[in-house]
Amino acid sequence: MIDLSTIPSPLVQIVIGLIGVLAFVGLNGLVCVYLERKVAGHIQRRPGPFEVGPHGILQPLADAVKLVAKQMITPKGADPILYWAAPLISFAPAIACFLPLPFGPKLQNVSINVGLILILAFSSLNVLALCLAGWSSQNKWSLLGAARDIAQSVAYEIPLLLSLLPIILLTGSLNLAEITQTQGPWPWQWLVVKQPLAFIIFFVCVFAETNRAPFDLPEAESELTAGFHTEYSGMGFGLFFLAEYSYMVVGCALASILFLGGYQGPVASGWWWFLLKVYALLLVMMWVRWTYPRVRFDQLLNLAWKWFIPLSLLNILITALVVKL
Amino acid sequence: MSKQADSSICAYAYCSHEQTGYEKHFFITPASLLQHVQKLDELGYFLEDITCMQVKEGFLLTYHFNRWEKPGRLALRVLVVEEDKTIDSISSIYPGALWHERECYDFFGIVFKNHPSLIPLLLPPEMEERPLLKSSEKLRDLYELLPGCEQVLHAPRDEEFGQFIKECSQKGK
Amino acid sequence: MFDLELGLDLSGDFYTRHFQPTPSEDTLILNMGPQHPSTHGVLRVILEIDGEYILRAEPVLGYIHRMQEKMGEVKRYEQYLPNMGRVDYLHALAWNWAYVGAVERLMGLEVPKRAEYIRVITCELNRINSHLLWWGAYLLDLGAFTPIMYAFQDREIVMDILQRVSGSRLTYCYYRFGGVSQDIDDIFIEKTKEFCAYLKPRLKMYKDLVTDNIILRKRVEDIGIIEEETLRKYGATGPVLRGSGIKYDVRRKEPYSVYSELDFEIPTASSKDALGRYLVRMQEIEESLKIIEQALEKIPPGPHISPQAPRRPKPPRGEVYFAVEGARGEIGVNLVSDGSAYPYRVKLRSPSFSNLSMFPEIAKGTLLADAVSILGSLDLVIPEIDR
Repeated sequence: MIDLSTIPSPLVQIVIGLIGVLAFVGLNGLVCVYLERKVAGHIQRRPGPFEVGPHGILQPLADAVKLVAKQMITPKGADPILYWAAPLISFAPAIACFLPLPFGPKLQNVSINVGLILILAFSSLNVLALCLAGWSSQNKWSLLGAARDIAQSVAYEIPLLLSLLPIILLTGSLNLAEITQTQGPWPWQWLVVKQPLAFIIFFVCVFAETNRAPFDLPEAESELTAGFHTEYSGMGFGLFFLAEYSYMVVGCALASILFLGGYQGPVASGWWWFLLKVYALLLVMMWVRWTYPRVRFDQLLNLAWKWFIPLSLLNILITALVVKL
Repeated sequence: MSKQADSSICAYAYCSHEQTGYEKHFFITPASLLQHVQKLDELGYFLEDITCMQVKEGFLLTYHFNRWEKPGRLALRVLVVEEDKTIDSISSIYPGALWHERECYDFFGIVFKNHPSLIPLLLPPEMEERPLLKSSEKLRDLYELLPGCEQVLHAPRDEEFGQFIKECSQKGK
Repeated sequence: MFDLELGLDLSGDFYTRHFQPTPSEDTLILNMGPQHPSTHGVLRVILEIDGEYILRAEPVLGYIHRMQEKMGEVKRYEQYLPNMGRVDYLHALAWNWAYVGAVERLMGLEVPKRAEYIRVITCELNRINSHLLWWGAYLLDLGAFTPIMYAFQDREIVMDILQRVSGSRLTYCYYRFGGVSQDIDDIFIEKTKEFCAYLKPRLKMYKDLVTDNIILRKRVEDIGIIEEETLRKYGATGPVLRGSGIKYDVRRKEPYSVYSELDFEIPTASSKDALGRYLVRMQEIEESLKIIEQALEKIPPGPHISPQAPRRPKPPRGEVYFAVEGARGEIGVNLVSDGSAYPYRVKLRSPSFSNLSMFPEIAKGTLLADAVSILGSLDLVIPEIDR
């Protein structure tokens, strides 16, 4: 495996890392689309895509070609600059979120001591993009979707951060590689054992932050047609789509680094363990999406304000007491 | 008004539920429609639908009412003459009539007085034609279509209805 | 929006302008439909919303209007039969039945016992199909994607069974004046019995998997409560009425065919909300299974169509009303004959029409998401409303 730290110049290191991340994000998009459609298919007792390639394996490529080839339409009355900036603003920070992730023992693009903060900061930018998309579309459904998204993201940002504080208290670090190393290779050494509540709250918040069912209210198609991306066609929609999957991966990667021991596994620790954990969590997200109905908007906010925030505060308090004693 | 017909409440020669699906028919005058409908509302009837039919004499509006308990379906019939195609809207008593009346307005052009928004329901707003109007050679007399109602046509039976209501309320007590 | 150059008011079409005489700064006029995922077809609802709360709602109809009643007047009695499968494509056989029943009543035509039983069996199968599709589509409205696929898997079996006897899968034209077009055979009976045995455990699974789900409960409980008075004033029928605890079913109230010989319950729910309507429909599937099983036991031998049945009926003069219980409520056909081969007037009373007319009242003050839930719980079939 490549050892990124042997590359001399930090600039070259970042460029290579970026290329690697872009390749990973693109590839991951394809894999996720295929996985999503197959999982949905099998949950719904149908085979899923089957025509393009063996077992439909080339279907995501066909989808991508279709999206790229489609005409990009700007609706009449929309603000063209903001309208086309929105998908880019949504997608670009997702790349930055991948940089501090330790994929393997030495497979980390940027080893900085505030990696966790960096990811959280960049992933919050997504809400701005969605807000812009909804606002500039000149569509009432998009506007409603954007309004929902802002309320939802703001509400869930808080328990998300609060649920991570106990981890920082326990490990005493914001560097993701260090947090990984404080956990052992065996499941009982992982932080999820010490912090089960924080893990649950964090994972549910990831659902809400990435707008996945049952919390997909900003794009709830049976209510708001397609929410904030109603008017987007072609790659404009494609970028939102790719960003959603990237944030899902970032969320699942954070969950596996912080709570599930990252790249460490019972036998032969390495990047494969990391990917295994990430994709296992992704599968859970897909499973949930295709099983549950959507919650209502006020119920969603109630869950955050009335349950998650008090619970995570309590969790912090208890953890702080235990650490201090 | 002849007395001999009053012995039977039903105006038809045949009017069994088996044969027509109706329990009762009443021909009433357009002016008394609202007060009759008010009575039915008090008795707990619900509005099934409002239908219209063009005949030589004009337009026969039929209000179908039914009840969750027995007795069953009841038809209030009002004849609206060609020259004055207007009648009171019953939507103040039964708001469910709003759409049925708009439908009759669409298909026949009957104007319902005091209807809050008498705009086309099923047909395009710019459409001028009234699709269910018949050409004169296709029109039939009312007594031809509804055998046994020759007498009542020219003497609408508001009294019969009053009798029926009285009976119903007595049963209810 | 106002076009200064042309002097035209461009703020929507006729109905939008009619809906909004005084534009307000605080509220938003929103067009839900005619192409909207949760209006199932081409229903359009104009909403005035404040945030996500609905202040006013006004359905706009007519996007799939085909003037069925005019077609009834220009076609012969028998030519009009296929139209009936297309009024309500989900419970086509109930409309078939309402129309042939009206003509039979007009002519005083006797229907053989066997034909009546065949009608009961096929009509109830069709009702199960309709309710299953509603179940799937309603959950799709609530954001659950998977149940509709399960429902379609079950529907497929029923459609295969009905295809055997009627030749079509959705828009049936199976009933004839005085009977049915084709007798059922042993394979039909066997397959129907198999289906009854198959569906019962599935219904239990649906209950465990979907009905008892906490998220679903939160979306339907205490949503869209309809009071008795509203139901009566608007003439609502069917599961919408029974979901509010009123035991009114045409099959029991004015029994037609052989329903009086069969033993079945009329499920009601007292909660008056969307959950009540949901549970009533799920129980109705079970009752329909019960009816089918009994009818299969009791079905007598004999002709499947009356020997006196005319191919081209010319009913005597007169007027009849024939009501049947469809999946959505009371279906009524009001037929006036002038003694010729063409009906003088055909009036179709569709249950969804009355049920939808309540919507502006019950949607007032609810959230947009709840309005979607209410609209779904009314079980609308738009072609039936527009006719």
